[in-house]
Amino acid sequence: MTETTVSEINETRASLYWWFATLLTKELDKEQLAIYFCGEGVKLLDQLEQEALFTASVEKIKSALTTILPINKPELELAADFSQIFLTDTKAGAPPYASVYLSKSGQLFEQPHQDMVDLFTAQGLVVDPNFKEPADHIAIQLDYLGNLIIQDGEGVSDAQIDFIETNILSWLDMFVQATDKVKNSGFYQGICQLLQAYIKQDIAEIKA
Amino acid sequence: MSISRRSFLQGLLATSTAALVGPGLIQAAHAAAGDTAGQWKVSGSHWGAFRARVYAGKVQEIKAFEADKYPTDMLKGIKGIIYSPSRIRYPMVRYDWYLNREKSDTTQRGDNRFIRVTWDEAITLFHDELERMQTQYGPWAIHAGSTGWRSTGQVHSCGNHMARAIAMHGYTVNKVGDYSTGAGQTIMPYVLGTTEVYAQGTSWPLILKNSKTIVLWGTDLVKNLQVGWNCETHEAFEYLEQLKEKIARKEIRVISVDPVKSKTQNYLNSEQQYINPQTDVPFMLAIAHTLYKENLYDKKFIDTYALGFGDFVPYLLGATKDKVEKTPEWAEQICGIKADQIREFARMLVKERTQIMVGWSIQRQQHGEQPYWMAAVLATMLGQIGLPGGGISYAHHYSSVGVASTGAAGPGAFPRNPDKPDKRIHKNKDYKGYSSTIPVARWVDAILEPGKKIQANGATITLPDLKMMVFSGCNPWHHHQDRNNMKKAFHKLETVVTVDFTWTATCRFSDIVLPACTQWERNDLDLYGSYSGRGIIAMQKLVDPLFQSKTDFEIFTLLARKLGQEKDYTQGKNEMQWVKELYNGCVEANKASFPMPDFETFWKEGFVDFGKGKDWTRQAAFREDPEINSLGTPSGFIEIFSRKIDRYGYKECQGHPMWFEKAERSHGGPGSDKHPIWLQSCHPNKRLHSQMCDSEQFRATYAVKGREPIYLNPHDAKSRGIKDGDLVRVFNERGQLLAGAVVSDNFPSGVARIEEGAWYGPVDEKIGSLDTYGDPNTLTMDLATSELSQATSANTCQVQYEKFIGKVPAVTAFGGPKEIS
Repeated sequence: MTETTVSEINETRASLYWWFATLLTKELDKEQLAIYFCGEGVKLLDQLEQEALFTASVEKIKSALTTILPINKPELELAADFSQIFLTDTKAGAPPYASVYLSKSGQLFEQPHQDMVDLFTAQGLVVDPNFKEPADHIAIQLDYLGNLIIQDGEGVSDAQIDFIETNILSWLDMFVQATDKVKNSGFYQGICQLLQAYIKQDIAEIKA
Repeated sequence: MSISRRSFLQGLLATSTAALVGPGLIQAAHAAAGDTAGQWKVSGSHWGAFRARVYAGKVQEIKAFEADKYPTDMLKGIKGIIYSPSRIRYPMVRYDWYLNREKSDTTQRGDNRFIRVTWDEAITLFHDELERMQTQYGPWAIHAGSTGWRSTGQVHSCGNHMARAIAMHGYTVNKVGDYSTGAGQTIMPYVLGTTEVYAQGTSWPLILKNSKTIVLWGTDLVKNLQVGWNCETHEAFEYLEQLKEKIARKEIRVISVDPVKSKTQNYLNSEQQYINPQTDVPFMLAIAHTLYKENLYDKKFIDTYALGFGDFVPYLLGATKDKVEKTPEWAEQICGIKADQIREFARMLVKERTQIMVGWSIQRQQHGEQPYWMAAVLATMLGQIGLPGGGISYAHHYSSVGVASTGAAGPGAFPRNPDKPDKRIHKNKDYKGYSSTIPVARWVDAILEPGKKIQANGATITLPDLKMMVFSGCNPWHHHQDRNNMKKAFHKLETVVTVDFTWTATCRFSDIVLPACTQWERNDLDLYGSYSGRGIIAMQKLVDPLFQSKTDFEIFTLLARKLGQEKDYTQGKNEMQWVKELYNGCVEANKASFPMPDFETFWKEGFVDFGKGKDWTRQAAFREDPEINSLGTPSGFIEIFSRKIDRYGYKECQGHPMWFEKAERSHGGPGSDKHPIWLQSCHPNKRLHSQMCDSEQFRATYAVKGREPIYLNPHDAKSRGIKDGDLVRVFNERGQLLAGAVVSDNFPSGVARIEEGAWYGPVDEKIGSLDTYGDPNTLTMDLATSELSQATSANTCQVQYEKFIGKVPAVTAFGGPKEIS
């Protein structure tokens, strides 16, 4: 086994979180989806599948891709799945906002949103104004986590661990469970389950 | 940090994720953070004016406007509307419609499978459908005229924006009337000369000073005065407080003619005259019979001010076709009030000064024209019309009617019609024999039975073959009757477009859903007090439009841009320029009598107060001189008999008020053997129609096990093994729903209440499926009041109910985590 440096590992960790963030930000267009039929996406999934903890969720993702492949315009089918889970409401799916799961009111823009805004403000950051979403959107949290990891460079800061535990793990299980109620191809349910498995393994590793 | 076991990551190092990772979502902030406490802003609503503290781009708290001395509890629900998880966040298109357009499987409507599109694509789809309708069919195929209670604000009034932009494209089908007062507003111009339902009433101070008896006929002031058409002032509550004191001192008697003990009765601690549901006309006829037989009626008043009494009396005496004398004994069998009590009631009415206040409930039933007309006949026989504290009104429960008008002009509105010259793209006005305007409640009939001819208010209407519906700020999947019938109708529509800020059932059954922002995410202004004209309230934008939502002004400007008419649409003015222009128009109109500050001062202070108006008596001018101040009726007099209506030759609305049996009625009436319970679906106590039902925390204050309450009589509930808090299945041949039992002595045996506006949430899109939240219009009948009004008959509805046993389905009507189980 060749020696891998911490910074290389961190870059990969960050890339994976950014990959999840990308998938949970918006629908894949035709070209982006094609990469998962034959391209880098297939390679990535194959490698992830080898890790025992991830096998089940990767299989779910692959099975969904097999289901939609023969459909005319599979990207639209997947876009409908994305909408059904993330874009309508909690009745149809699982809004990707911590506030929905953590606040007593179940409303949007509650304390988890404010916590993220405060965190960003303290570091002179803002959510891209073109991405008009509350700051407790899962994709924003994962994007920020990737940045934290890169910032840490050679090590793992307490801030990174604290962010994963306090801001993400506090609601991720509820969110992932909510996605699983939706019946469609299962692609995004698989992605969310993979994220869940990965982040749990990751936190265990970095704390070890 | 251990890395040795992380072999998969090593493997991944070889994989390029560059192609798989999109752009970042976070960037460096440019501006420094602002203040830490936030800023107080002022705004308005149907629920009243308020001040809101906005901090970090979020509405943090809301408190009632200081001029409002009786704010409604519903202000607590406002934040829940803005931040509801049911918000529509992006333009959405129903997936199967997106794939197949007009050939889509319309039975899938309501199954919640949508995709997100960009605004550009959404507006293009909307435009292309309008274009296809006009070219493939014609103006008769598009109905873009159904409107509802919208949000307040004169610049952004959603119905105006929809109407103006769509009219710039071409002609469409329109509606006449509304769901609240369809029968009342149609019959009353024949009888008293105006709609009466939307008219100022005698001022409360005069009523408090002069009335000895007030009859509240099917009206619940304390419940309904919480909301107003414009920004509500709640000034009427001051007078209700005084009325309560006068009742306690026995200076005024207040009697509710009502099957249930209303909120008003409980508040005032006043009396009730129980009556069987839907039998007001027999009671009224028997009162008239008593007044006539005992010679207690005001002959002189009738001779001077009314026409047709002589044509009416034979009916009263049983000398007409039906051969039934309308005696108290006859009425007792129907209305459940003892004959002697009826006589006593009649004598009481004439004894002293009596003000009759009629609510809207009794005209929202089959033959709803009759009790309204007959009440006017009674008031005429009493001879007190036009006297302070006497006579009759039909609106004292509405928008602070009875609070004196200042006479000040309110702000105008963003124009509803295109400007001249007419530049619309499609000038085709050929409706192919179909009617271009239909009674508001008959559009579902039109979809199901195109070409059918119906009678309406003296005209023959040919129902158009509707292919496309456009709704904006309007939720027919709450206000129309008979959901399962609506599902059938929606299978026939090719395209449905809805503009709203929240996922109402109407959105769920649509093809294109466009996210508007709420009224608190835009700048606007409004009249403070619809009838009192108390002032002008600023509606300062509290926060920017959330997610990808836009103002109605922006949305329809985009459509106008698509038509190449953006400048014509906006007149080259932006939002704030419109706010300013409407304000300045108001300054100009009021300059002689109500000097107003300049716009900048107004906007900073948020309010212009016109003060209090002068007390006024309804119909006093007519009483003073009926020739000069004649009524708006065909004759200029009160019409007890209407020649005009008589000439229409209708079966269910003839020349004078009459009793007609209902299609369904409780207490021994038709259908009561199978479905013994009368279901009333009155205006809600904790919502404005369906508005605010999506406000999660506020809804939790009244919902029962997450369901809409059904109010039940203790005996009826007990006999079915139902306890307070139980889940109840309510059903009839038209549908079924789940509701939560509230057992209360306010409700007599044979009567139940589910307030209208409860959001529809069926188990699935299939016809007949159980409604999981408790929308009463799952059970109501889509039946016209009569050939005259063709209005809604929501209160003609019999049901049965039972304790719900079995697996409880999750509520599907809203967003929100509680419903995921």
